[in-house]
Amino acid sequence: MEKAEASQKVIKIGEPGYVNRNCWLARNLGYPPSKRCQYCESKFRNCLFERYLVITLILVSLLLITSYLLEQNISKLLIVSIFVLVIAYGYFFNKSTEKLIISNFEEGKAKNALKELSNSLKQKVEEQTSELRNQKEKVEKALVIEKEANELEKHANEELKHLDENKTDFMLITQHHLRTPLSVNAGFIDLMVGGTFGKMSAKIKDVILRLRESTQKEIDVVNELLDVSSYQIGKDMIHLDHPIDFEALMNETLKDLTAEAEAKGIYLKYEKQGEIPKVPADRMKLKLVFTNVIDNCIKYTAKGGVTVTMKVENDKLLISVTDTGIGLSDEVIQNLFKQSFHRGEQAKKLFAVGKGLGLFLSGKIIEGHHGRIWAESLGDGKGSGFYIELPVKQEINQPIKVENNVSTNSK
Amino acid sequence: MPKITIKKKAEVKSSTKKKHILWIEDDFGLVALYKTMIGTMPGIELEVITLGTIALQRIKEIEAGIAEKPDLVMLDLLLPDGINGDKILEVMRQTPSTKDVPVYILTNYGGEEMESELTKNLNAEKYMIKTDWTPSKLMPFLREKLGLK
Repeated sequence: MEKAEASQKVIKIGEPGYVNRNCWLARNLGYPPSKRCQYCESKFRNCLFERYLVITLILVSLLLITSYLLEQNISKLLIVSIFVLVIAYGYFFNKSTEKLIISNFEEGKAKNALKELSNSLKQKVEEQTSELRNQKEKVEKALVIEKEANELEKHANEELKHLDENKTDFMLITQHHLRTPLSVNAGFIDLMVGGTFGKMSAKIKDVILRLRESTQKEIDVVNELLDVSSYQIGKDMIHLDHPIDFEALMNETLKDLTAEAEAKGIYLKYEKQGEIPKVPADRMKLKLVFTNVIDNCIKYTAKGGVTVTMKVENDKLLISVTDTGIGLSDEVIQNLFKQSFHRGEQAKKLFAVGKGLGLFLSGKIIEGHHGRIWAESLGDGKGSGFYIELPVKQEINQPIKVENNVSTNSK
Repeated sequence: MPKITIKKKAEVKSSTKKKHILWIEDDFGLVALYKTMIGTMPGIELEVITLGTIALQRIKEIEAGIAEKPDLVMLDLLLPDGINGDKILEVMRQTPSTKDVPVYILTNYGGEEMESELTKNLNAEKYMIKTDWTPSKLMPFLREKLGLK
């Protein structure tokens, strides 16, 4: 293959290996040395040898003629002079021509060498250029792949956002549909209890009150469903826009829960310790936290009761809710605010209607207030304590998005 | 003398005129509930519309002076014909004769963005969730808003 390629390759004038039979004539007509080929050069060298031979023959002939003329008594001096001149001319002519030819030949060789060097450099440059081109292509391909990957990622994120929006819409619509019949039930029960349909017997009234209670519970569950859903999506915001009267908020919460405590025959008391300043907070969400925590304590307390205290210590508002209930194990305490749908083993045994989501949500809300919420066991069977710590000096700023990653694992 | 008599009649008429609530609600259970509830409240007459398209038609009629302008509108959001409460409120706010009518959103749809849009941008008086606003809470609220004792 290589030979075939070489034979096909056109060798230009001046390049090694160039053969042109016309060149010999061309050179004699005055072509520059650089256009001579190696063939011509070798012919020229042969030609030099022929010249020397001719000159030598002429000299020998002259010598023979001279000897003859000397014998014929022609002037000796004239003949010797001509003889010397002829020899000198032949010698110098040939010497200078040879020098010229050789120098031209060397020049050609040097030029060829330069050309070879230039060619090899060119080849190297071409090789390196093609290598660079390859690398450039690879880089370009990599860039295209990266761009595609980025686009895919962007697309995936958009899809995820879209799914989240769909999920919210779905949850809102589901909640709407669940609430509608409940609001009919709750509404008519309300009218019945209010006496719109006449006086009821004590028995019927008792049934109606039970219906009201269970309907309200179901409404709470449906409301909570969306709370969790919105926290899962991370859309819910904490608005620290107004300083809140914590005492008023706590009294309001306790008032709502008094009936439940009374129904269980346990006490629910509030002990204020010192003055409580107003603190910027999200009133609605904090009420949810207080309700969840206190309600949780009431649910798991069969005897005794629940005590709420509030005080300020080191620029921090500390709210404690302690009960005399079943207490909490260390394992439960650790996971109480982390996992949703999580209730302690003891709680399960009592078949209490627990709302595992409530404490989880509370944790997230307190986190959004730059605060801390935790639980402690007061000893097995001696009850449990829930503590909320909030900074008194909150900065009133933009709504805080509650980050979350709700785990739906239940143990 | 006769002129004075006429004036007195007009005064009497206006003072005894019932307050008109336009209630836009599609769920029959709730329509029955609110009709029963308003039935126990003297001084209020109730007009119920169950479709968004009819509500838009009524706004046109009010603007044309054919239908009576309500004193208060209770507005549900999700309606079966796809003309939802937000659209109705938007049209009301663009219509000169209904743009100042107090509108209370009474819905079970709890989207915060929707609440903000309706109360802040479309000037709804209040955003109320039906399960929270049962008759015992709703009745005194309506009496107060309509200026009834």
